[in-house]
Amino acid sequence: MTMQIELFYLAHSRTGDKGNSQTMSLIPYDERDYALLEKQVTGEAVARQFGRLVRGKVTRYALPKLKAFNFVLEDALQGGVNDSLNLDTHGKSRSAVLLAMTIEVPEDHPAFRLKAAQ
Amino acid sequence: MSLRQTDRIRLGGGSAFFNDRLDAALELVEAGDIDVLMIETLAERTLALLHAAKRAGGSGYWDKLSDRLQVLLPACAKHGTKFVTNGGGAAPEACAAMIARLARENGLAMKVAAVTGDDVTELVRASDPILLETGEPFSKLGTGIISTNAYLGADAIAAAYAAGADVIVTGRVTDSALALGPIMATLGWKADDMDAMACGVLTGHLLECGGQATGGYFAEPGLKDVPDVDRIGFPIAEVRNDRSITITKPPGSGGRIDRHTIVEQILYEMHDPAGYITPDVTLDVTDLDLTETGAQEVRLSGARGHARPDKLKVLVGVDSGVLAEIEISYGGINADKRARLAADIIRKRAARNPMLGNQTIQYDLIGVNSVWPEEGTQPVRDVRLRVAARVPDQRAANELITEVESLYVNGPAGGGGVRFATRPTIRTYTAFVPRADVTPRWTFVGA
Repeated sequence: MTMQIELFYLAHSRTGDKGNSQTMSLIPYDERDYALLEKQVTGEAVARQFGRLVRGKVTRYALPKLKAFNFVLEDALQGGVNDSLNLDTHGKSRSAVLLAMTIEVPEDHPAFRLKAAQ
Repeated sequence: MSLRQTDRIRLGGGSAFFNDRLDAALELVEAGDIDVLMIETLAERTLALLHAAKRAGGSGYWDKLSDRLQVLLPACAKHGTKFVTNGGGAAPEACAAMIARLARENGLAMKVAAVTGDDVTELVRASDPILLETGEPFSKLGTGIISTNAYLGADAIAAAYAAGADVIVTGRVTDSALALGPIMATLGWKADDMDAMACGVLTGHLLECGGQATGGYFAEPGLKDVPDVDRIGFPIAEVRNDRSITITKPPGSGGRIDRHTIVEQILYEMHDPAGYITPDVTLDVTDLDLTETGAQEVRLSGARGHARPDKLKVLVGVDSGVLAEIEISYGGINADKRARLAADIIRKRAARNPMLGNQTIQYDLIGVNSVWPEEGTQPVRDVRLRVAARVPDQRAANELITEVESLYVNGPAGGGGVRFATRPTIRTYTAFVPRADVTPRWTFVGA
């Protein structure tokens, strides 16, 4: 059996900006979850998660040795520092959007205990 | 001054931006046993703002630097720590002269060098390159150009360091060059040794954001806690001849160094991890070996370098008017409805105002939809309306401020806490110029 859980309980992320593009890391707390993330947190899935916030291409770079992923979201910052009128001009807080994405994990995954403890 | 070994060099990342914590930088010098303190101060727009300030009669460098140096310079002199900064901004030589004067006044024997050559205004005017953002030549930009600076690499910094400079002041260089220069000079690494350059660039990349490598910008209460997060120690990188980097922080400081914090910083603002482009080398981090070698210690090796680009990136800063941001709060039952009504009032009145009618105005409800894309279903009791616009000048900004401020007496019930801020904004454009056309220079500067 699998159940849905937010990425938040399995991985952490930091965002950066370059012009109107957003860069975003995704790093599992437990390296053993790398394969799970590789399968489910695809570029397409991340594009869906960001919905109207991202208008350009989403590229995922996998780093199997560092057990991490890097995403580049193009045309994702409403113009970035040049044009955006957003409160968070750089989109620094957008890692929270990625981590709110849900994925399917085995129902006995330790992430559920972590979530229950929060 | 103690004799320094030449098979290793220890560098401290003392600042991620111009207003970063001074106590953490001082701790690096006093307790970090570092050879070099690196102070990064120039975000993309900061340099353009300094150029604008210089044109208006200012120094052209960051004025607060002298206050910080009053603290840091004596400590650096005492510990034999070299000081490398891009805080020279639009006037590296004037900044270096200020530092030399400060050293003399404090009775410190320090040789101060300035690195110049990043100001490529003449070159860009003459060669008129195509801009990345517009696809049109530079000359089409017309008026309002504030600054035109190339991102220099590490070569002039390395040369000044090798010549014995105690303080090196630059304008625009890549942040990582502030570390790579001293590393090249100390370890004898050459620019054509691409894996060595990659190791140095990665070192700079890990240090350039200060505490972001050591547990800053990381804490998630209960999930990823950071010990003593109120006094995070800034990062120290020990780079050795075997091309390894060991990241630590001052003993006893707060913060966290492990696989999680270091990988977050490695990937920070990176696009393709196999092709991170700098003027010195194209860095590839996909083959890195990362080992947690101790509590609060990570060792990295295996940085790969690919050929550096033939062209240097140039950032053009152009005046883009004034950003005005004004906020007003509403509380209690229906707080969000009153905030939305307030936005609607501004929208209608701005449309009738000749100075605001053509402007794009953004309305955010802080607490509802400002940094989170989905509005929740729970009632909110504390909402702040934010009105933001980029307008041509201060007069137009004042019009918008007046509109929001007058909600005090003419808007929905119970609005309070109006605050406003305006600041000049700068638009940046990107161009590329042949490396051979740009000449980085360095020189010793006296008081």
